[in-house]
Amino acid sequence: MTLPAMFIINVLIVVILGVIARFVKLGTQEKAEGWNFGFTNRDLILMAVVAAISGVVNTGTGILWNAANAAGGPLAGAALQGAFMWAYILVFFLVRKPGAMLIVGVLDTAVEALLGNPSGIATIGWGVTQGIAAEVVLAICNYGFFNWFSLGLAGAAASQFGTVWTAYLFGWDTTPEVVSQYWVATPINLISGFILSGLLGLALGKMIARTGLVRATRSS
Amino acid sequence: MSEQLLAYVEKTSPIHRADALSKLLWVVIVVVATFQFQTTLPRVVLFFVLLFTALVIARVPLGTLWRVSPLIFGVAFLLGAFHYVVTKGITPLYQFGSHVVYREPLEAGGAYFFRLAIMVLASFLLIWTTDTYQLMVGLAYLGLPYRYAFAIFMALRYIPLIQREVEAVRAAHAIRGKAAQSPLKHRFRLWQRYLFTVIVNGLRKAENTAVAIEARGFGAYPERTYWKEFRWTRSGFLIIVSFTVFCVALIVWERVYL
Amino acid sequence: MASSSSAPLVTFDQVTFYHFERTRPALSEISFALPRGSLTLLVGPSGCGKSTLCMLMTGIVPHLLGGVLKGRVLVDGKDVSQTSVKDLALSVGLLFQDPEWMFATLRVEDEIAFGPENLKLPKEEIYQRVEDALETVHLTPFRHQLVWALSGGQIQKLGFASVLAMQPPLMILDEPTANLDPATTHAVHELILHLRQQGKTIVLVSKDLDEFIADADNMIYLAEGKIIAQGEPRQVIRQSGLHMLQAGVWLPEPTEIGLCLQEKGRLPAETLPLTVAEAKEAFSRLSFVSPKSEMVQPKDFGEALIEAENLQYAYTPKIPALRGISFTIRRGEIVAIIGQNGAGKSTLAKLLVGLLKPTGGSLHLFGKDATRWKVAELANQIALVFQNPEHQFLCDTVFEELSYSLLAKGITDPAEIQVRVVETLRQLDLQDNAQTHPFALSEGAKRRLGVATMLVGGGTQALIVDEPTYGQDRRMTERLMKYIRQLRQEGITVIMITHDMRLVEAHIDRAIVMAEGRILYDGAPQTLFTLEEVIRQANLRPTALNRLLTELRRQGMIIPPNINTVAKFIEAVQ
Repeated sequence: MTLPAMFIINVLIVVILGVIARFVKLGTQEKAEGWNFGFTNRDLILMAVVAAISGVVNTGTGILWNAANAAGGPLAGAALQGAFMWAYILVFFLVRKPGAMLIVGVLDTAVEALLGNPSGIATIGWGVTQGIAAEVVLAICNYGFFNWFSLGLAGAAASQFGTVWTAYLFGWDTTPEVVSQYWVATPINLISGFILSGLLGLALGKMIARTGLVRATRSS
Repeated sequence: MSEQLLAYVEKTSPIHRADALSKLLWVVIVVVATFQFQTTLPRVVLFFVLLFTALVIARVPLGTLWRVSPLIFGVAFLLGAFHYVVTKGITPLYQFGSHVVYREPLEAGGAYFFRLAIMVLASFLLIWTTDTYQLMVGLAYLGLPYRYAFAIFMALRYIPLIQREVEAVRAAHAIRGKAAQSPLKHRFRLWQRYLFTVIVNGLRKAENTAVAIEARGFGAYPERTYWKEFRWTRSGFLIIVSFTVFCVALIVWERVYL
Repeated sequence: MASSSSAPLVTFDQVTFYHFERTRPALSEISFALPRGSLTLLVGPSGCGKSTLCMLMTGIVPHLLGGVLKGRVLVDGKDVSQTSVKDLALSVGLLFQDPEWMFATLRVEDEIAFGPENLKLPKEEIYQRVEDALETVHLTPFRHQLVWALSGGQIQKLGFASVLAMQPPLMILDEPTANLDPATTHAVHELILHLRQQGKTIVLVSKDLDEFIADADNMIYLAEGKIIAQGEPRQVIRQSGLHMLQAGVWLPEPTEIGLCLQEKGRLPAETLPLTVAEAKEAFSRLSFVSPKSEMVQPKDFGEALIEAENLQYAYTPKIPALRGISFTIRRGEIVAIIGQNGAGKSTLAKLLVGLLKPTGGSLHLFGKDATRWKVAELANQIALVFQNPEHQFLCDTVFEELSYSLLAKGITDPAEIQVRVVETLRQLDLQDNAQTHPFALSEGAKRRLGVATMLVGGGTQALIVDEPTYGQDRRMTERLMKYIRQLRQEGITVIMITHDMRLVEAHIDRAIVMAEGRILYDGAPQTLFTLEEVIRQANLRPTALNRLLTELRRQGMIIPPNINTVAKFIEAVQ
């Protein structure tokens, strides 16, 4: 299978996840800001600091993940694939505006690249792919609402779509065995992203909101 | 307190003098070129040219390079080994007892090893020789709205503050003792807690930062001035031109003669 | 400029302010006027509305953080409610308590240029302003340095410089010296007075008033959001000094003494000393007897708990943090470890709790070599409360936090936990906060909880507290010290790491002064203040009380040797 074909299938997966998020509303619904791109200074600084924190944390995890994926192919790192995007979900919970997750993705991976991710500047490729996928899911929801399920799906989509860049960078399209491993790994990527990014990010956001100390979490 | 191995070090080499945007562009050219090559040999050549650039022209100390080499070569080696294993061999090259070394796996392994090593080395070279402030000014010059350019910059600026906080929280947790639970549950609790503490404190302080910089006029106008304006430099231009010519030559050489 | 130079720079007219979603006003019916070029001290206990007042002048509230403003605030001729924060930035500069988080760039000079760049000033102008600001705060040699490589004092100076570069006529300084060593505090104070000479109007919130109180033009005393008194400082203190002391405001020690003596009728009402020099005059006719309470102070301590012999520690071979120190700490002592940032205090604390292991010399902790202790086991013997107690909290409520500590010590019976936690909460005055998130407590309560999480369940022999008085008002400090003295009664050794000279003078048995990884002095605090060389090397400064006593003795007055607090001074006055 060629890389463009893998890409197209992955786009379809992301869109399907978005459609599910739009029509299957589970849990309590919270309001998002809709198509409001007006980032305040505070929004931007919050994104920067969350990205910096997740960049520092992810650099440690990233070395492990890079090694596993490089040495073992698509299945080896799949369970850990979702561990990198909790910051996207957390920031969406705080800012609730379109584009926030993509920006955090880029910032987070830029920080990782600077701190020494073993993929160098190519790390930013994951930030872009993962960020876009998460945005697409919530864009299909019109950025109007979110719940644990839709954020979980956004995390799952980000997790899976990031592997498109891995496939390109690590050459997972070259042999049929590796391609079939790639599709076997897909459900694992999705579940990993759903839990480790989506649910964990939301849980962190709610924990922070409960303290009442961060102004961004106060109802306004 | 770890020494920062990946940080800008002020020097006066031609690479250091070059403007940040040219260097960024140069890394992009190198990365794009590595994806264009179809065989290992041009990548080997490019890699050693980069190594020469780092050690001789940019005068990166050998010690620094040595200490980050696990980052440069570690994952690249694993990726190379992976492709050596999964690629089907057709043309035999050598034979060690019953083990036959084929041309194709060796070619694939080498190609991926050098491709990743080149990208990482080029990225590190950019980090070692470029002041991030200049990079931000450059991105704003290219038309990125300055508030967004600053977001990148602020993220980098927070790193030492956060590393300090992470260290402090870890030390504080270490002496809290362990409530009777399974060790794994305890680990998870500590991990989740330290993330939480670092994030809450980070967010709280970030909200103060936002207020403070707004009180200093940040975001007051759609544009701002830079007292150190961005300027294209001649050495930057030379780096771009020489590497473009060199990479194109390598590609032509590979396609025509190899 | 919009207004003539004779009109006040700041005017508050019947201002009442409610924070976002609050029903109780943070400020109510505040009216005052500040003339151009004046220096105003803003005082009041924690939570009295000082910070809100500062933020109102810059427009941060209501513009950025919301809230409801009634009445009128005029700054430099601009009505705050009608003017954006960026336009107010030309008139007001606010220096925050922790300027490190106010910085937006990586290098000293870029940081100073940041504000002017945002205002789109021409390049040449920015260059000039950066040069001037660097010059004023004496940071020119450090202009290319990274901001995180600066010392605490330099960070404050950079904060000043970056506000100065905006050239606002009004500067608001919110606790600029809260975490600086005494000598650096003094340097910052001189800078403030220098700025005032240059014609800046300054509003200062600080607990170190002794160097300003005589020079200030105005004092505004706030409590619970209302102005209790305002006017010339001497007038304000004369009028409501006792009220201030009761509310928890720090006043210079000579002033506190004066107020107490006046209350007792020992000093005429018109002579209220504000400075050491004035106190020297005012108290020259007093005579003293030895304070009675001095006699019962225990001086014999128990066995040695901590013994260090030529103790060394180095993070890397090139960076030695401790260069061979020797000392002994005994059961029941209260010891202070004093020194500048980077003197090795925190390294020592980490060695004592086992987070670091010695790289040379020997360290015996509770009869066992430090290298043979495990961190977790040692934690039952010796406890460390970090400068930011939040770092140690692991749970979502105060109650859970304490029960976690009990569980960690092997106490699992829920009924017993319940009883012990409730008892501890009572000791800490935290009964009403059992279900509060530990992060949401007041600074004082957080620190008390930090101490309690380490001690609850018993067994602890020694306690180390890092900067116990940081960010706390007088009343909070007294509460904490009461708790610490109670611990000593129970036989617990307390080691405090601190910059606070008043604390050192009043509450400790022994001071260990460190500089550059060595011990400069180890002995009684009273003697310490007479050693000028040590004081200079360690960047310390004697307290106002101590300077006063020295002056009085120099005049030939006979004063008992053991006076170390305002209360004892009063007691000693015949």
